[in-house]
Amino acid sequence: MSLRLACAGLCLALALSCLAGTAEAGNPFLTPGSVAPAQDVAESPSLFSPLATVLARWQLALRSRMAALAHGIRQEPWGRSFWLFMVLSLAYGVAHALGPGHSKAVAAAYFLDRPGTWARGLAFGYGAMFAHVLSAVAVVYAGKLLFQAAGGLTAEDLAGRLETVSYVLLCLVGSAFLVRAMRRLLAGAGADPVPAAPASRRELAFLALAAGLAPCPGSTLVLVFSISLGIPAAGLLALGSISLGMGLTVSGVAVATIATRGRVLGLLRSHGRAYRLAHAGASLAGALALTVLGLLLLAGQALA
Amino acid sequence: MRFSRLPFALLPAVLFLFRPAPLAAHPHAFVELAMAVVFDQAGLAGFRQRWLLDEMTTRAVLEAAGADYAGGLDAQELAAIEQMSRQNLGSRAFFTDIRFSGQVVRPKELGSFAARFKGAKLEYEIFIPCPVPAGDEPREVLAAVYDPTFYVYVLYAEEGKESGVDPTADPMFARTQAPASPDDYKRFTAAAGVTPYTGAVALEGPAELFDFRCAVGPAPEMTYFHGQIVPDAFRLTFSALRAGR
Repeated sequence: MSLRLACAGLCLALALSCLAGTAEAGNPFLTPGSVAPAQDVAESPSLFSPLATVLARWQLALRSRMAALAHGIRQEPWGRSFWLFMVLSLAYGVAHALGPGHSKAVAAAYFLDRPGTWARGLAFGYGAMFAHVLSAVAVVYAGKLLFQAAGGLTAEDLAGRLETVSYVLLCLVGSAFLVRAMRRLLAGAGADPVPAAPASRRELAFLALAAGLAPCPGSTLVLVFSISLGIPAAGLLALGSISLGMGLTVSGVAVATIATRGRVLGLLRSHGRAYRLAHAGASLAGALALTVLGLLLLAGQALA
Repeated sequence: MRFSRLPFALLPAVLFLFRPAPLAAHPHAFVELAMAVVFDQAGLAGFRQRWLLDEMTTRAVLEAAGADYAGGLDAQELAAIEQMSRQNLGSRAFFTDIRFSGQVVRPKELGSFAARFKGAKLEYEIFIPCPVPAGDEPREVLAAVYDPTFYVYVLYAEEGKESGVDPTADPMFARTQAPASPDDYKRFTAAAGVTPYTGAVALEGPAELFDFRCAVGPAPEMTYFHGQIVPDAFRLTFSALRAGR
């Protein structure tokens, strides 16, 4: 990916973010909006609605239990409540990442495009989720200082702008991969495909950062709640636990994609034409999915 | 890309993200709401709501609609406010969260809308249809009006009475440079003197045709704003009157 391309993407992010910032941000009397997410889950006619409802209920049940334990932590900071709080945070992270977003599609699209290893799948999953949680911590904590220093932004504004940058970067990375996949396809026409290089560490780190830049709303919620109860340290440690849980889910998707890709291509290796088609198709589909995903996320944000 | 250059490439974005922007502490707007449960011959028909907006929000709405205070609202100003409200508040279901037997019921459309001045404040009168026919077995409907983002605080008041709560008693309510904070709700309710609703439940229509109970009280299942605010909800249980009763 060239520096020029990266800068172009960032400029686009700035432009979009600038447009968002000029609106009378958030005033329900003056700007269109939508009903609460919980209502959407209950009303959604989507195929995944039953699963989304079950996940929402799990998360609600876990959060209720965590809220009760948080009060116990105030009485005894390092007692049984604390450790249960950490365990439930881990479970909450797993359930939370099973819901919409959280880079699962990015992981699948990326490792469909590129060959990977289990270690790289785990590295991407955990890297993206640590970034996702750190971004939430920044919004909650650093946000307050930055508001005062910079004249003020709401936490929602800040989160929204980070999301915009993240989505633009995903578009950018997806587009670069798409161009590369097309080039490989053209270069290998009529012969063996030019093999895609395995995911490099730098590329993985960049993609994990791009995917995880949007702050995790679930982590924000848990941290704000912990701060309001006067147990910020427990809240921060719980966020570590949540990121481990979320990383497990996202890594699972990444590793499953790597294994499936490898298995399918391995089976087709002796079938020249089918192998070439599958190889090119996987790369193209992954790159295209990444680009479309970024565009859809941007469009969804613009329409919200 | 050479990653040693990455921080420099990201610098403009970081600077832009933290540029000055308008901001106010939560809540930003205050609404006093009188709600009546409306029955028809079949059972529950819906909820009639009267919203009284605070003066700052009134000014903002008037300005956005191109209206002024002079001589009340003319037809053009009223149409502009109605269109804006149907679009903006309508997309948020007028903050009305209705649950029937535990399931969310989203109003398909707004029944009616009217706006007028009440002193220096705007007053909206709306009807949220929620037709639920009465059956032999009791049916429970839970209805609350709240903004899940806590941008707006909705306070229940009795019909014809103002609560006397002054949102500007919270010094942060009008301070546009104050950052949002996790303790906003606690601070706001303490400063403004917000207390739980203790008034009567207003009824409209042939309520005598039904066996019903209705009370206003906390609804933990509707908890919002980082799990900190438990809204008061109208909990209505009703069934058809049995012969001989």
